[in-house]
Amino acid sequence: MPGATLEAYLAVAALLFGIGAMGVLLRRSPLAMLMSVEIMWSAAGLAFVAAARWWLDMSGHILTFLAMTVAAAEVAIGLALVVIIFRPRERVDVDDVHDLAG
Amino acid sequence: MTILFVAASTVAIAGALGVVAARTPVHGVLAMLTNFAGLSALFLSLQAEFMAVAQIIVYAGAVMVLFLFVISLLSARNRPTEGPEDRLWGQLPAGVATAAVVVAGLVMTVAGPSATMGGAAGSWRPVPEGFGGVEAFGRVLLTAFPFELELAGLVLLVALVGVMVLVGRRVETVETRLPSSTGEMPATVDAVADGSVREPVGVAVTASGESTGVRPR
Repeated sequence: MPGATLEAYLAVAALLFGIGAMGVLLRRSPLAMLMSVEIMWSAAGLAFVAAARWWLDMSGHILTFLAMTVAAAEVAIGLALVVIIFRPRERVDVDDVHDLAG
Repeated sequence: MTILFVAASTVAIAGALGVVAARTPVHGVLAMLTNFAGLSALFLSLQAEFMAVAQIIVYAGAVMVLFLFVISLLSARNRPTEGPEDRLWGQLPAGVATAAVVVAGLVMTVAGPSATMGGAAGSWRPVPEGFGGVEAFGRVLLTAFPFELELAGLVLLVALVGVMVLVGRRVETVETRLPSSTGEMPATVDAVADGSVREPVGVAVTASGESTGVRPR
């Protein structure tokens, strides 16, 4: 049996999601922001897996797996963009990218 | 609540907080690995064995190594670390408040007075044989969700091609491989040369001598 109630698992997932959102909002480095987005992805995955266990339906596992796939693709593209944008720069700060601001 | 749940969630939450607080990117990656270990233990406590293993392999094994490679590529000579002085005015209270509102909304949704978790008032039922194992996972994935599996493969392929287009090495030997005689030139090349085709693509651009290699647009 799982160690806690379904609500406890979902609360942990919500807390992890909030911490990830906080990281996206607070950090200036695109690498840290991408990592925080990863925390948000996996927090949503935890909610899906907990719900799958509750309803004894493995569809939640499948969706978590697909989300993992999309997260991996997102990280690959995001890191490639980070490399080509920030490699010639002195600082790694998202505010330094304002070429469209005029 | 058992010890396992408390310990695993503490580790996961501490790792997530470490990612937010880490000043150097490598410390962030280490905190992220801690978070994934805790999350994987939580998956195990939910009898999701395959997801726990996949979490470790995909995230800790692949994604985090990718992060480490990028960290070693980005030198950021002037300011390698990020400090509180880099923050915008009012960013700390605004970010924390927004995240708190998000968490409060999510918790209210699942555990508030008006929560509509259908049938959630009860207890865990025993799992059927093989639940969460790789065999049951594969059976569900390949029988109930084959289209989604194909779609995931397509997403990965597009990501692969996209990364190659973005950061792949520009090979400037296309021109030398093309024959220089005019007889081999396709008809569209002339149209490209006099500007009547607005969006020239691929080899036609190279063959007209306008550009070598592929530039990101």
